[in-house]
Amino acid sequence: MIIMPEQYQLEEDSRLIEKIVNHEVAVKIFDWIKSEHLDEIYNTVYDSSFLRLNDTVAPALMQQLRRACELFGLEEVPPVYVLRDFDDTISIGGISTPFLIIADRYLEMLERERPELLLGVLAAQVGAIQAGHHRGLILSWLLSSVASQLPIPGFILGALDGLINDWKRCRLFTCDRAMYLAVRDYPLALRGILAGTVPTDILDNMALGTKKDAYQAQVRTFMENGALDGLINMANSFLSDTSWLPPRCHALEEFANSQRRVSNGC
Amino acid sequence: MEKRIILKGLRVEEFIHPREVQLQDSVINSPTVRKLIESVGDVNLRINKTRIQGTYIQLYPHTAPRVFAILKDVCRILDHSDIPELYVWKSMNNSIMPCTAEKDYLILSDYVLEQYDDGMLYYGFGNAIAMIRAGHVKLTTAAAYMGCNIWTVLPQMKFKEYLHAADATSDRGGLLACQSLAAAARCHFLELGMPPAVSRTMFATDEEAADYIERYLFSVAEENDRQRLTTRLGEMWQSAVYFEAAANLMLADMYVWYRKEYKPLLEKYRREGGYL
Repeated sequence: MIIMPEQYQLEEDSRLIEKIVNHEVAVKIFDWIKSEHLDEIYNTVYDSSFLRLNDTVAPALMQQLRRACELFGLEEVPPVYVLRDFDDTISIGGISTPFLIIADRYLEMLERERPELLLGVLAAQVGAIQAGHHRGLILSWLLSSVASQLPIPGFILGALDGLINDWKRCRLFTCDRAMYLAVRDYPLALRGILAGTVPTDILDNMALGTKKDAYQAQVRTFMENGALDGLINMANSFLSDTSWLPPRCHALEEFANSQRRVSNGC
Repeated sequence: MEKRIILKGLRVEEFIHPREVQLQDSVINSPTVRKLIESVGDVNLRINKTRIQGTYIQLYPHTAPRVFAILKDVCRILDHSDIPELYVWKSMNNSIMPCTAEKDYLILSDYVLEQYDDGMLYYGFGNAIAMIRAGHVKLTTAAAYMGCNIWTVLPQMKFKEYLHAADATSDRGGLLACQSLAAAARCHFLELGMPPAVSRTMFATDEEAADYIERYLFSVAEENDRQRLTTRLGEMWQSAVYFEAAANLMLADMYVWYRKEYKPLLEKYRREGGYL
């Protein structure tokens, strides 16, 4: 049975991405992309500059990617390019035709993990594609890299940029839920969020998702830290487009619990 | 590797860089800098700590036993009773940075955890604990808020000169913690671009490290002599723009102290007893 976006997409994500892609500026940008043939140029650059993975060089990844596409009803398996980067993990690129970009170090780490974790991580991206995230991400990239080339006043672009930042902060919650629905394993999904941030031996010792979960204390401290909550979130909204890890883990736990209740017929 | 000597009763005055002492009155105790540090304030430190808790992962003795064992050793060696919290982030950054809020804490990258051998971790933690002991942490935090402003160029340059001297103090603390010139040198050469896997093949013992450092510094001096104007301009640029001093100057500073003052200081504490 195919997993549909309605089952995992955060309501705020759905609302914001709808608003973003239908924003008059976004429509103008997508029209401009089409008129300048940027889609073809963009794809050609990636194809010429990066190694595209296939069944010969990355059989495990391709197998799990096909599985993820089946789960989420994505008919065309997106291309996957590998990027030489220490800090990055996995992301979505492409304009009309989305593809995945995975950092080499992150891929090496994933290949040492259980195949289910690789499935979960890829499912998060496939789920995101089905929820339309690639459109928002390409807009974000365009606003940051070629804004001066766009035939649109800066202050108008700024308003769209703010909307996109708000959306990017909540989209990862959708990805986490998609990952959980693909693997149906809460500790594994939690590991999928934190994998790559700490060495594997430390991640193992953290006993994520169990009664001895070593990350839960940090989640509780962060969530209970309400005194400066508003101020910090305000600062964060200006300074960053990433979401805090503790709320993501907390939201995943709640989602997993709700899914278990549904499965148990409660 | 010999057992490490515990420096019970170690005073900051015993390893502080003389230039830091000179600049303390004129820079740190100046009204401008005191006002800057006050303006950073506890609220900003708290915001920073919450952002760390929201994006980095805290380590504990049971999740990172090797790392905590070394941190505890370093605190014992440098006679620092308060073991800081530890947070890790995904990065290639190769330093261990002390921060403070209601309690001191250290942040380090997953690169450090994966690439640093034990000796390098002793050095890195020693560097950070020395910064805490020498009272640098609020200053470096304030420096992070300074930003770039043409109206504060001159005070910033003086402040940066102080920070460079403070860095040299913390390097001495690192060496006192690891008690291995080879380990300290691996950290410094990493700063200069040499991965630890390579430096470990270039020198293994303190004697080999000393020999390698001297040959390196000699070649640097030779090259600097050949291009005096460029060197001078480069040093001025580095001093004016960066919070850290040039990596080769930091290495030279640490090595000179190692040759002249480190061993007598260690010998003093060896006589007083106490090994790890």
